[in-house]
Amino acid sequence: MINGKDVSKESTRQRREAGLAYIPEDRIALGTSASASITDNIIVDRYFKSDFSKAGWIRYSFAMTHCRELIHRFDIRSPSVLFPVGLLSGGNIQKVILAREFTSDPSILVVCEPTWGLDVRSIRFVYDRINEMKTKGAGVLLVSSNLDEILTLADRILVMCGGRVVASLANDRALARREIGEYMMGIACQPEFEEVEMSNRHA
Amino acid sequence: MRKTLISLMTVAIALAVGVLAIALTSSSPREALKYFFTGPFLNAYFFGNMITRAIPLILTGLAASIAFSASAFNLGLEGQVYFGAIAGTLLGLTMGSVPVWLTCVTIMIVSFAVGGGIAAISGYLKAKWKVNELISSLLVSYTLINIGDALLEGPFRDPRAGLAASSYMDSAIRFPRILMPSNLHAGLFLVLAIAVFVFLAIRFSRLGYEIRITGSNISFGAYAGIHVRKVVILAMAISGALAGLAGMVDVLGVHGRVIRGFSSGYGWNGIAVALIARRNPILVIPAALFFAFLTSGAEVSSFFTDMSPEIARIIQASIFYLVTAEGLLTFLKKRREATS
Amino acid sequence: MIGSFMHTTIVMMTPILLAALGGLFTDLSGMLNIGLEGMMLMSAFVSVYVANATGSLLIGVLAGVVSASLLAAIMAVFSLNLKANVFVVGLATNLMAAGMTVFLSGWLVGTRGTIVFHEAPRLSRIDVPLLGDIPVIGRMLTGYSVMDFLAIGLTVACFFVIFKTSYGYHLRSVGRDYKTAESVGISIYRHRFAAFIISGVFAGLGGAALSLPLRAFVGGMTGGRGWIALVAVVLGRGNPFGVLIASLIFGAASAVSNTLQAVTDIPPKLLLAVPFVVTLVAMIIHAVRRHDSLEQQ
Repeated sequence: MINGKDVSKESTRQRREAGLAYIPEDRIALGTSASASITDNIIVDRYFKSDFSKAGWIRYSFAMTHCRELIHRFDIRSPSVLFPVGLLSGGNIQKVILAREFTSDPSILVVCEPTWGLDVRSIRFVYDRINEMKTKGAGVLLVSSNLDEILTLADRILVMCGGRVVASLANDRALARREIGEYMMGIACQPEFEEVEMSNRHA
Repeated sequence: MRKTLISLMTVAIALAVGVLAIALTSSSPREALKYFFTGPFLNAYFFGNMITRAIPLILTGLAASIAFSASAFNLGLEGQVYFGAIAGTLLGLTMGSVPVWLTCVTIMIVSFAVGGGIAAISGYLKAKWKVNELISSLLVSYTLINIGDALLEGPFRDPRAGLAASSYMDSAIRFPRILMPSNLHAGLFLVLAIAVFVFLAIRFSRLGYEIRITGSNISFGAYAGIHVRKVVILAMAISGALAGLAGMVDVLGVHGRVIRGFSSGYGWNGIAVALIARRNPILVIPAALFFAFLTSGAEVSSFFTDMSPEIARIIQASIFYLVTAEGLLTFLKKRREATS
Repeated sequence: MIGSFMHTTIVMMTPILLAALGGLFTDLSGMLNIGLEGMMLMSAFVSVYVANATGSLLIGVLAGVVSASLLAAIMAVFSLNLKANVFVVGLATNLMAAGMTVFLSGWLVGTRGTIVFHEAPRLSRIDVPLLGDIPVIGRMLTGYSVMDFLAIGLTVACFFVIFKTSYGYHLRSVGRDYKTAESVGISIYRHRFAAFIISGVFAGLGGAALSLPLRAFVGGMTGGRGWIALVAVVLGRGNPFGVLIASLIFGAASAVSNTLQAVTDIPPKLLLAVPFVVTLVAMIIHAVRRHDSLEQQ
């Protein structure tokens, strides 16, 4: 359900149009096309919209201006907007994905392992953008194996163990890592989740 | 820079293989080599025929490029070329009193559609049930070549012809010759225009974009919301359509009728042309010319000396081997470091 | 009639089965060898030419096998060492074999058409005593050449090698999950290289089984059998006996085509299309069933 609309039977494009955005765990295999340019990677969810294309042809002048703006806004270090994404550093590849997924005006954002393998500066940057999306009112579902990351970003935490949710916790200051750890390892389980099979931790 | 170097080296090594084969097998290697390299430029006839040879190869080269760009291997080009030409010609023979230009345009559209339809079958099978399009397109092609042969040997054979061939179409339909006495015809301009259009379409059109993204990373395309199955089917269809047109253009320009097996090799060489051109539709033009040069050079040389025209095929096969050997440059570099 | 039809089926099956067994090894190592057609063709020419020149079938077959293995080795070097696309290298193999065989026949024999090798020894038929006297199916059980028996015997041998030896186990692990295989110290490179060579040896036998019984060669005489063999590999699902059954179906399709050519007026070219149609349909059915079973899971 996105904004009261059932999208479970819709195509990927319809789901995205309904307001879903997704930052996948695997940046190279799923999140980008390594051999394609930054521009081609960013416009992939919007090239068919009227600003970007006309009578079956893509308006590259508009697309490139758009992407230059995003490169600046998302601090992507690249010689040009036509530079192949595969030749960028890991942090910059992730920023290209963010530049696309965060600017499609999503109401629900699924974010998987957003800072895996990134340097400190980039991690800071990613956190700032995610918080920005939160304040804008988007629902963010953060899936992460990094406990610090979850404690930094999340409002509410669903702990999973063995493929099912075992606890739902509010992220207040009092929450101890130790407590989460016990749920993670399957030592403890909240009674209401003993039969439920659901997914994911929640931000 | 690096790519250019690889391409040049590919050509050089392949030519060296050819020169070696000529030197080993010909009784007058010097003569044979001279005619092999200069033959196509000796006079207007040889030169014009060389260009004529490149015309269908440009189209099949574009056909292969488009399929490869979507990461779909269309190995059925041979059958698509042949059957496109047969379908168009048979229609041309039965269309009666309509203006000539209309007949000409109609049969080209029909050959385009027939070739496209044939290839779309394989695209559909791949999209729907993951049937390997490489094998299915090839099997369809083998089937159609045999059926095409049967048609030309049986019901559509012109009894007055000395070989298995259809009747001649109205000579007014055919493309005008532009370099007498050679076979070179005005279809060249059509084909060059198509190459430029395909280049622009792949780079700048929406479908071209979808084809490039799907071909470069199909998971990414699907994740981003591109209807990748549709794109694969369309890419196969356009590829087959251009192949069908290649056969028709050859008939309209050179033969005026379909002859059994006239297009044999157009498809395979088109694939090689696309690979040398690294799928770039504009580079397909020089690559096709180069292939035509090899075939013509070998033909002229075998005409004047005892050289075997199959030399061309051996050189072409060598290029095929070398063309995607990405590791070649690094390999040679390592060897040089090791020996020095 | 039935007996002789079955006989033709087996005879038509042999070259396909041999090549497909070779393709099975490359398939198990995780690569699709589309050069089978070219390897077969090369061996078809070399084996009958050498048998004719030396008067020895054994030397002819060995020469054919060596020529096909050479093409396989080139394929392996290009795809494994030089990182060329394995499909493209396979196409190159087919193109090279097509050009090379016609070139060699022109150069060595002086003709490019059908060449009949009168000096080549006959591939004698082995008649098993008594079996031939059984009514109806007697003809089906005996009177095959050594190549036919070899193909069946090798199927059993391949089954043993693939499923009962550590080599077979390693080979399958390379194809199924090469990363894991590599992590436990199995060399991907060596297994794939060896698989190519094995496929060359088998395709070479397949080519020899095509030209030696006819004692003749004609350009492109494999006529798509290498591709049909490739489909047999796919349908065989990694099992030599599966490959055998698939090859048997394609052999039967060819036998139907041959028989109808002899007894009806249907244009022969139309009948030549039959094996390809059968192969295509078999491949589609296979894909649909696999697709459905994946859906159900």
